Amino acid sequence: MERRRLLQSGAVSISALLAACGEAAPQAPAAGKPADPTKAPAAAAPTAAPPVAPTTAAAAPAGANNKIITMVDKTWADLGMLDATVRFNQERADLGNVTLEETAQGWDTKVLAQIKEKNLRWSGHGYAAFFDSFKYIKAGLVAPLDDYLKTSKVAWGGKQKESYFTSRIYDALQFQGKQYFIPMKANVHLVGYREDYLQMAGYDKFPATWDEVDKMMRKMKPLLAKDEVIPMGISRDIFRTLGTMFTTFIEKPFDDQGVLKFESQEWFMLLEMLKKWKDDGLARLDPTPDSMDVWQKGKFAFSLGSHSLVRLGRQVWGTAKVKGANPAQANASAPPRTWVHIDSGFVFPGAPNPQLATDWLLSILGPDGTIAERWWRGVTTFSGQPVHQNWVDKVLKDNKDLSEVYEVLKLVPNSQIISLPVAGAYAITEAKMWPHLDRFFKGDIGIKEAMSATRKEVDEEVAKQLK
Amino acid sequence: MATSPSGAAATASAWWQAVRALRREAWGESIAGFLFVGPAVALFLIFNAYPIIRGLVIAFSDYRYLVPDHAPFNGFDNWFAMANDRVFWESFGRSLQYTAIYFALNFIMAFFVAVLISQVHGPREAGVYRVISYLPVILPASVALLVWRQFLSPEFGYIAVLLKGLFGPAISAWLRDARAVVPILATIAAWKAMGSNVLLLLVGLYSINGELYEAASIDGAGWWRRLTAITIPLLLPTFTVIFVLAAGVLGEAEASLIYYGVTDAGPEGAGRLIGRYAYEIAFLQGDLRWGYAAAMNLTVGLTSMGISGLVFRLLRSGRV
Repeated sequence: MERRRLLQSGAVSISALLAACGEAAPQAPAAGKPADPTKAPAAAAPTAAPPVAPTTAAAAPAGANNKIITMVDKTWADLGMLDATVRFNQERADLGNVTLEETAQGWDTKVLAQIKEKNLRWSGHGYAAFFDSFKYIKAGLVAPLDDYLKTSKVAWGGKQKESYFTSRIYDALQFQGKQYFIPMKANVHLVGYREDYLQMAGYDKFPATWDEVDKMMRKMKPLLAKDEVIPMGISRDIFRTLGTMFTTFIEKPFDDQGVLKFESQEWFMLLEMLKKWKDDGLARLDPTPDSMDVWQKGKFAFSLGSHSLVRLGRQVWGTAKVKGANPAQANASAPPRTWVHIDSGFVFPGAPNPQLATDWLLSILGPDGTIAERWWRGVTTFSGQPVHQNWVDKVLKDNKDLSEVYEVLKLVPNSQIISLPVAGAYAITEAKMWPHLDRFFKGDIGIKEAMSATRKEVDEEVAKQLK
Repeated sequence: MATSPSGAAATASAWWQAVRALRREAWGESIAGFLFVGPAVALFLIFNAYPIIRGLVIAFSDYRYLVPDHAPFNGFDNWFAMANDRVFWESFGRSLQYTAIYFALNFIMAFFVAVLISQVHGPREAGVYRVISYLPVILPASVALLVWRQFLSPEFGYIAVLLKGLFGPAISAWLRDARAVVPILATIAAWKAMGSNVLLLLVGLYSINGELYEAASIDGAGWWRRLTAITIPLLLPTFTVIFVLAAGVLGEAEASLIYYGVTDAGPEGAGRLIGRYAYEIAFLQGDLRWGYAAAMNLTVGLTSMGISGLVFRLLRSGRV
């Protein structure tokens, strides 16, 4: 048994390396099964070395029409997608049988090669981060779902708009008149803060406007200085602190091409405010993107980002000391807003039984039923929020441990959900902007100069891309 | 002398049998030889030759990973683009600086440590020092770099705290200065790789005949004279190996990617070495232009080869 495992893991490693060598590399040995799924006998399954352990009780032979294989990252499999799939196979045997496998490094290269050679082993994927979703469409990794949604036996697929807790979620899924993704979680950003630090300055809850935050930080600074605690942490991931704060200054933070409006007056105002805070010793700019360790050491009192901020803070300091709250707003009279992006599941083009893959996604990510409950209850314990009103009510409404999540979800209908094209321009914008922002924060250049240099470089890089 | 037809036939047959036997023998040996070298050749072809050839082909194309079926041959266009790419030249300059610092630090530290260990007479104690000097090599790069990140954190790191205590906050501010990024990354990388060179140098040091030192001492040579007249000349072949290996770090991206993360290139982008820039082009930005990234890496590879060639040329003349 051990030898077999060793051989299987060796096969996986070799195939991953081969896949990494290029798209023309030999494929499918990772699965240890014949490359052609239509010829894969069920008996081959025991010798298979899938990139992941099969998650259903009976491994599905890939060729059978009503049996498909899908994939997802281990994190999401463990959080509930695995259980939901097992449940799907039990409750919706009429639709077919799904074997969920965990993704291995380089899965996209492998899938692309198999799509080209028309021998795709997998039918769908349970997770595309919003950064990657546009990239996947462009690469030809994602099939439009509209036809399968119409013919699906999972009823809600045809009336999604009514199911999401705001129709903006449905709108954000549309790209060039088609729908490519089914939402698997929302990421709604909030403030994570140390309540004990706020209380030292006489605050019981996080202020509602940035002006009040300014006052609070000035009270906090001398009180926290002896422990080398700085009131605010600014993340170097644009979509965390900067992006979330920007949504409170402007209703639509992205233009029609999906580029952050970094030459707007609102962006300038935000950056000038943050620089002043930094110069006054009220805020620290992370030297590296991931500064959760500094947060967990208790070296800043609050920051903005996903619910992970609260979750990871609580791992060290407990629920009593670490709280979450809606972001403060630039204008108290305007509807409060925040940063929202959606991560999704999708179906591969040319997949075996794409209808079943769509039905599987619709079932495990749906608005009701015991199958979907496995997923939505699981993911809310991590850093994702439900997109359906039903799960918001069932999982969050009376959940005292996640009351801040329930509150911040109320901001979503006012907020611009990050749409697919944004993901296309995001990486370029982030790479080009930070060197200039660093010089701005250092005081070497003004914000207008910094952003106009960024614009020039972003345009240059965008011009190098094919339309 | 006349030969009967049957005798000629017999001679020819014997000759043919002998040839066949020889061929069988040769072929038999060949098969055994092929079987022995086959796995190594197969591994070389799959994991070395194929990626190199594939990389070369990609470097001369406009291969864009995100544009399906788009990999047209574009001749030297990638190099023309490179010539006009400001970020490429900035990154390349940083990488040269990184390599130079790494080169010097790695060699000096390794030589210093190796000479010290070679002076330890107790075999057990020497073994302990060898293990200690080699430990950073076996430490996973991610762990090593994250530990260093903790040390060097501009606000809460041990070094920042020490500097603040000794000289005040202004002195520790250099830790977040863009000009410090490349030296810091090169120092960490040199520390990480130093152990291998210590072992190489120790092998060289241990193989030097001790009588040479005794003779030199009798002739009145001091420590410095023995070092420059015996140790260094006899270690030149080892130096060559060390310098050639160091030239390979020109295209390094790992230190920056782990230290600053994938999405950020450090203060003012100062951690964007050429390897990292190629990574960003290939895996993060826009169409994912693999062709351009491969051309960059090919350029870096050729430059590394050039540096290696130079090292060989310079050190060969001094080899004893």
